Amino acid sequence: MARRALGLSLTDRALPYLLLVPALLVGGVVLVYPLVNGILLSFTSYTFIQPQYKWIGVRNFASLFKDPIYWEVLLNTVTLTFSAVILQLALGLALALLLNSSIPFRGGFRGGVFFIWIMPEIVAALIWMIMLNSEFGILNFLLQWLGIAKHNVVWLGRPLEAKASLIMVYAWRGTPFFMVMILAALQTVPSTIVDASKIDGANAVQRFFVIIIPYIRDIIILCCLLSVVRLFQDVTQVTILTNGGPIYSTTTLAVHVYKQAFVGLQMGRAASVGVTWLIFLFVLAVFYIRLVTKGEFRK
Amino acid sequence: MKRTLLVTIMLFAGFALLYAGGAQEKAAGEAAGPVKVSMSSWMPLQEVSRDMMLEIERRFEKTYPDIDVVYVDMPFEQRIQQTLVSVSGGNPSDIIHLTASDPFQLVAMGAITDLMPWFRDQLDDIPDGALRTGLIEEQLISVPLQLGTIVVLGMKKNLKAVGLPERIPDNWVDFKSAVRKISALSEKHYGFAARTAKHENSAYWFFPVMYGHGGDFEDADGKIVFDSPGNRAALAWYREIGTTKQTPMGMAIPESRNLFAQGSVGFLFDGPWMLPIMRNQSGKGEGIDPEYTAAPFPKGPDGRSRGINNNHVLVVSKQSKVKDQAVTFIKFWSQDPEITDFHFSKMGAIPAYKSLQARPTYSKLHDLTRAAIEGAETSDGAPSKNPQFSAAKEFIAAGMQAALLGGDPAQIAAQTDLAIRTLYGQ
Repeated sequence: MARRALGLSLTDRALPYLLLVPALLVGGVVLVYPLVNGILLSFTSYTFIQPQYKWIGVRNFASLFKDPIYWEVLLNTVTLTFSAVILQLALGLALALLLNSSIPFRGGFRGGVFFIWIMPEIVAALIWMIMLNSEFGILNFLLQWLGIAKHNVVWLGRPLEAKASLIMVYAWRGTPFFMVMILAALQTVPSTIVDASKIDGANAVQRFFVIIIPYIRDIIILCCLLSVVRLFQDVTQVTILTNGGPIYSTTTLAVHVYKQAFVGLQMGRAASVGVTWLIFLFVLAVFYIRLVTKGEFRK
Repeated sequence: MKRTLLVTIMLFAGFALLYAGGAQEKAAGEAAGPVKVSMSSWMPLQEVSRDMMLEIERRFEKTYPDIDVVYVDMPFEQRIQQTLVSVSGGNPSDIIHLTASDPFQLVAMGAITDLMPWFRDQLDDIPDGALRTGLIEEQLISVPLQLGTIVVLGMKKNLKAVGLPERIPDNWVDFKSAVRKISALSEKHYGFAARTAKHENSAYWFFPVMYGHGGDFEDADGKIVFDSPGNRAALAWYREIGTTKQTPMGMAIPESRNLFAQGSVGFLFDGPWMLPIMRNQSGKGEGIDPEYTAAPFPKGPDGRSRGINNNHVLVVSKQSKVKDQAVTFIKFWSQDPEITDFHFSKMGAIPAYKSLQARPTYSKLHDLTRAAIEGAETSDGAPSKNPQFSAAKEFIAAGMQAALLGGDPAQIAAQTDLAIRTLYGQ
């Protein structure tokens, strides 16, 4: 009687859930199962050679935290990622502001920059590997031709230069994304407010920090978070350019997990690295949500 | 709403029927026709060897019409990882193409067939170096496809320019002196193109240097002996060549080969496959052949020349249901005289079997091919048969790079030794 009073039959109420089942199944298989399995794996001594789930508690984590290579890898990941994101933000913002104004060939320039982002990652990495080659690379040729460098720079064979090269490649790759997102956000800034501020005597710097930045702040934070997550996961560019070397100077968490699993065959140990990675990004995500929510509360 | 529910159910039923129909068709297809033998290899994938592999497949299927060979492309750099995953997933290829030091992880997983029943009568025909690698406790876990003896290549014009004879020095003292002299020719010259990239391959190429200085990886009982005077001396030499620009930095296999082919390097360690590679990368075709020479590694302090090999080997997965047919293809590719001659003509691949090496095809050979055959007996394809050897090589690669960048050899040797012993559980 109550059902009839609501005007919905049992079939009508069950249908939405039935239709959700395929999506939930796919999500469960592709997302939930690997996540739970990975976390459980980190508490076992599972290897390719002895593929048994033998529970060893937190021993993987204990040996991980005692391993100096792990800490170097973590520091590398944070350094490379955050340096690259800052550079991506600076360049992306500058390009967006430039493209928001009336410059000649704006459309072509926008397309050219966007092309960088849609290029497959492995193609981009291979091109940079060739360009950065210390003997044959065009970058060294140009630097010496312009008189900036006297000798070949070993871009990928020395720790500091290798880090700088990776940051440069990450920045090159990620800047178009920032540019596109910030450019879209800039379109939402009301021109009336900007015009009014000009009348009130605000200069360009004041307009930028007081009016434009608050409007695009949330997009900037979102882009930074997405970029951090993406760079944390990068294996392709590191593997192609330096394979984590020289020594361990460019080994990141993603590469370290891969090597623990498929070179060292230590799946449990690899999963423990993955769990620490997950916790790190989770903390970052919580920080992001608080930042954004705080902003909305203020608005 | 009822109509929507009905449509949804019909859609699900339709998909289920399609899937069932497809599965039935696949099963029917598998029941009839020639026996399928799958082989994972990088050779059908690479442009330089693709046509040759297709021709070998064609000739085999003409000879054995009841066997259908199916290639499964597997990039060289990913061969171990992809094999491990396919074995773990329960769907490895029947035949897996690997290099000499690769199969031990698979052996530890119990994933490889003992080939002794099929090859027992041919063991005497396989060079000692190749046989040592394939034998584990009386089981033949892999058979060699082609010799991959690593030798020393030398660019004659650079040797001549420093007043040295146009041959590889036969001891390490003279070799290192030659490297120094060639490096001093100009800023663009390097005495030796070491593999200096962070890769387990670079670590493997460091082993002859260790042997040449009296060092080793493990003793006869399998105990790790990386921290030894010989290995410290080898690391000290790497420190010298890295810090004084006697070798280019950050070079993986392709770059070091390219540099050698362009003529600005004195020496390179590589295998017999360099014959077609040099012709291709130098841009001179066969004209490059007389410009370089090759020989087995210089003698170490014990008066012996000891090197490594990267022999190509073939294994049969334990899960294969067509082992006899798989062995038939292996024997065709590695032992048929016409096919091995064809393989040699295309890729410079020297057959692994001594009886085939005695054929007229191999009577007039380049120094490189002769050196690879000569060095086959004393080369070692697997300095360690421990399944963790690949991971150990990662530590050695890092240590080697630390030495090249000026690190203390004694400290590096000690740290690397400890890391490997921990890995091996010693």
